[in-house]
Amino acid sequence: MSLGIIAARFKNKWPDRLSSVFVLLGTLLPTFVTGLALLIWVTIKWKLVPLSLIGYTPITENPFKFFQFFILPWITLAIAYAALYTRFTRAAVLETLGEDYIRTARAKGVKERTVLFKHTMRAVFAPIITLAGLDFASLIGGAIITETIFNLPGLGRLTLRSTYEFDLPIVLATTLLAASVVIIMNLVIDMLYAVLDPRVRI
Amino acid sequence: MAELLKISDLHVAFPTDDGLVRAVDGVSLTLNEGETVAIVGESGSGKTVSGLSVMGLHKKGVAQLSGSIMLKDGDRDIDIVTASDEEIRLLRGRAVAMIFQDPMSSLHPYYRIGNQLAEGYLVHNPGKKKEALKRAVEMLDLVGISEPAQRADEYPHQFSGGMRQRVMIAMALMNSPRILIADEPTTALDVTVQAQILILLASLQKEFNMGILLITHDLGVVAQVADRVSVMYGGRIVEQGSVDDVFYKPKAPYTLGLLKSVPRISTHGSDRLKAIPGQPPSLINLPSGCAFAARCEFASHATGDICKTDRPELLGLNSAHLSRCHVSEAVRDQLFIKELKEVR
Repeated sequence: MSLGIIAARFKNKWPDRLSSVFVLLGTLLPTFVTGLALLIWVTIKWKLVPLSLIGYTPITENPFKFFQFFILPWITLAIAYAALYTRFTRAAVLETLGEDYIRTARAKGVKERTVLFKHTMRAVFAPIITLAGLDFASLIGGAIITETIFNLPGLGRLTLRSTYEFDLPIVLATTLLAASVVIIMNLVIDMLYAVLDPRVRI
Repeated sequence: MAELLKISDLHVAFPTDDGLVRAVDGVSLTLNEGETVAIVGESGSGKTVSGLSVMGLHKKGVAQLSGSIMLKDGDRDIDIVTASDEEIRLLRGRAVAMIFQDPMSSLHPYYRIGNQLAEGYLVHNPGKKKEALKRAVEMLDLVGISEPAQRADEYPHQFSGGMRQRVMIAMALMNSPRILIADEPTTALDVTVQAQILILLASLQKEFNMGILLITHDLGVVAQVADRVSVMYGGRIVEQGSVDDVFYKPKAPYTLGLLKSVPRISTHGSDRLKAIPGQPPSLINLPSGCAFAARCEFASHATGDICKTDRPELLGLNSAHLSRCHVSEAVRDQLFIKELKEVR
């Protein structure tokens, strides 16, 4: 997100170009490429994370180990999503900067920094929250590829395996869970909207 | 009367893919305290761009400015064209404020009215939050909003168009600026609300002894409130003078065309409006001669093809009433009197 703001602020200058390269790479490279690349370079070549750690330990047993397991899948997913959000934020900030009320703020003598971070970001948050809520829901539903690469016993893999095995109750349960999360997240988004935007309040 | 604003030979151009857009091409005008100066012209004649220039609201690097805009700030004179961004920022809202065309979109939809007003005060008086909010309520009261203390806690969408324009005016006056730029303040409003806003502006002008630069395309509004008027066409001023002179004794063919095209109450329903034929020129390729030559019915009265080849200067026998035309002023006066009789 911050990268998106920077890109919008310096539109068509070098920070914008640099961030477009990142956006392009992030969107182009699917998770099975970044995930595998991370696995090969970080664990096997550089040995930053021990190979045996690829797997899973419940957070209740050893929180430190739990986080160690998750750091690579996190990075994998983060790259893809960060790229998406950078592009999205840049577009939203640029659009908002062209609004009449931003010109009004400037006409009041408000500092450019305040214009950007207060007036502009307030309006940009709403669409970003929509996107974030939906993405969160779909991530809970399972990131099948990432889970497979890093050997995580996740919801996505469970669903996939159960489908192959015609394990109907499990498929039913996971589908229901994913659907509920989507619905709940939509509700949360709508409620956050009301907090952000006075026009939505009843 | 002290001179508050002096624009001299202002040029504003925007480079685009199609070429250089010369939005403002050599505009000069002055604004004194307690006076209303109107800039009239059709869309794209450069009037709004001129107004934004005074506020320094053109993006550096996007717009190319030259000439000078001398602004009085207390005892200092500051040239907006050469001043730094920070210097201009400190002038905005305090020495010069602006009201925009569309009150519906000019207020931030997510912030309370009171806070939006207070912000303008806080920028120039940091740390005085309480006073700022108090002043916000005072200003709302001053612009005729009932129950100002309660209304200050409301959001813009709870206000009607006319009320929002009042809020915009209150916002502009938070720091009692000497100069107010009103960019088509009544265009987006109903006629009855228009009248209220104009009366409000006039009374506030008296109270604060402000100089108002009124940008509009509505000749009726100009006749009502302005003292002096500049008529713009194709980025240039084609006629400049007192409202009475320009309305009753127009010197530029374009002004005459504008006056003739105003619908009259006595006009019969079947009569067509006397619109000026043709289209305004592209600001990218302004003709080398007079910008209005192609649409001008008086071009034949000038010597030879001078209207197509040479740019007329802004001249006048009376130094307070200038116009741009190659046809001699005496000839124009005679021709125009006849035309005006037909209209009135």
